[in-house]
Amino acid sequence: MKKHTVPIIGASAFGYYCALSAKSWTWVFVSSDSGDWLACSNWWMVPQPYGSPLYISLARLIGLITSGNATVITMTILLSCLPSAVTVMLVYLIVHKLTNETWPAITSALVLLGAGIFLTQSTILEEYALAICFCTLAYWLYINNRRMLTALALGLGTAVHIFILPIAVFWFALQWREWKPWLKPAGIFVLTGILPYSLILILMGMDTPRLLAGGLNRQSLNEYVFGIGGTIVGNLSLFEAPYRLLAITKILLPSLGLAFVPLWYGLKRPYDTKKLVLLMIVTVSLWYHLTSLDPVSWTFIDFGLPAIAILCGIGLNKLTLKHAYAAAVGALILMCVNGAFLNANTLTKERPLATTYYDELYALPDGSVVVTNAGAYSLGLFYVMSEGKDLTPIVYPYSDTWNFPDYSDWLKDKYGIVGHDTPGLVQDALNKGYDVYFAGAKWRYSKVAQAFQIADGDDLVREIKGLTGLWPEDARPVESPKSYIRWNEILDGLKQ
Amino acid sequence: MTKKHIIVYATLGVLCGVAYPTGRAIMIRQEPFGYLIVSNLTLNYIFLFMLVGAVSPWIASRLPLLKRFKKATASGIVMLTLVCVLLIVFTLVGAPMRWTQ
Repeated sequence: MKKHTVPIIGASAFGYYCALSAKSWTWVFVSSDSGDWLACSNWWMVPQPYGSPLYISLARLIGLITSGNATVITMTILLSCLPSAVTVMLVYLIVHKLTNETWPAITSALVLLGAGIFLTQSTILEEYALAICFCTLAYWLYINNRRMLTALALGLGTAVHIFILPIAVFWFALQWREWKPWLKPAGIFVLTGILPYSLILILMGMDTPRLLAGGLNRQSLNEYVFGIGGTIVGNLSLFEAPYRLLAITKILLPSLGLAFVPLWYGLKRPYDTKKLVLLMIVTVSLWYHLTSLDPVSWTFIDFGLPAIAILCGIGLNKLTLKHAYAAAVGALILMCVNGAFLNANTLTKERPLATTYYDELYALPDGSVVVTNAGAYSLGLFYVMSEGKDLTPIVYPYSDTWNFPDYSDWLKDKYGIVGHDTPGLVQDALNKGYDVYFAGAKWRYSKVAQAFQIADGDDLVREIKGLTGLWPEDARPVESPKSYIRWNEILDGLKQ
Repeated sequence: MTKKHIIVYATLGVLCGVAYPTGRAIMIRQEPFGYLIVSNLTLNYIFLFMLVGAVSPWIASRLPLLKRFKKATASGIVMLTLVCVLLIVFTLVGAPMRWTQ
């Protein structure tokens, strides 16, 4: 390995990701979670389950130094572009270590750089890049027999994203033949990976908006931990299996391209523990998306991509040099194509929903009440408020079954608006002379707005024009087809 | 690199080009995705693969056509066939159940 190869690869990858990264507020592009991280780090409130304590702490730190759009850009570059570039560098080092060959290592790094899935998460404000970086670092340390540091890296990864937890558990389980030397590292993992989640308990106890979690009590904790995950993980209907597999194929093909050939050889025997760890990471990430009710969970495949790139390198080691050239050319083409068509900045301009929302909130008169549903819209609203815009947020849950137990109390204490549900809160705000605006995904709040307009017909209740929501209007579930109703009748008959 | 490899690389390149527009659409959320079946059928793939994995060797040992193959290969053939058949069945049964626009 030449002395300057690693820094050149790292610097090139960093430059590539920086050039393609989003330069403004883009929570709608790829991941609406960006709004969550921004708002939660700014307000220091409990983020979406399960918290990502290390990520929001780092974001908070960045937020203290910078402000506004500078925070977005700095977070994107420091917490997404930089870790991804390090991951590409690590993939090169790992493959070089495993194969003692330069070309397979370079090709693997290129395969990762060309992967569209990896690119999308490396160029926006998201937590995946950092978590994946720690996971890949753990593998680098693992193949160098540094157990304590492996556990530390896995722990830090877990503190960034909970998805590293099952990976770490299986990782430790695969070491069952020599489990004794792994006892101390397991302790380090608990300290660095699990303990930081106590930050969420602290945040629950603070006087911040009771939005995604209530106060520090048993019911609130129960809803926070089991409320969302339990309804989407592994719950996809079997009848969706073919469609989900097709969707995965459509995403993976343009992400890996010609690298499927070396990957095929990389997946072949022999299987030692090092290879099993890679296979495990790929399996866990694919399994999550294959069984998740959430179709946007394709982003979790990202966790498996460095492992896939490493397996490609292992496969290339079994093939002639021409295969490495072919896969490298394929990856370079993908880098160019993705650079043009999956460029975060271009896509933000192409579909400027987030910036429109941001601008329209800013255009509202000071002191207005904004009614919106939970999720990206509410968090976008909190973000605008955190920048100093004087608005009052009435946020209601996704569905009747999801409850924000203490939010009304927080609203009453902070703004003096009283009500037990959204119509009640809106009515009270109108009675007190506020301008009330509905904002966000139209079909999500249509019931509330409709019910309200029927109730008093007051045109003070308005919507922010020009917004159709995160989801295209025509994609919403409108009504069940007859065959579906018939099928349900048959199922009901069978149950009886 | 053999001719077979070249054909595979070329096929992958074409497939990649064909899949790119829809793959990109999924990634940037411009493809409708709000009509998943959210029925009460919460069985997941693991259960399916366990079931298929468990019955495949049993079926393979009873099919005379597969006697010429090794046990593992025969089981693999049955497993793949079963998965393909099940996917086709799920597609046929599931298609009318999916939400429509």
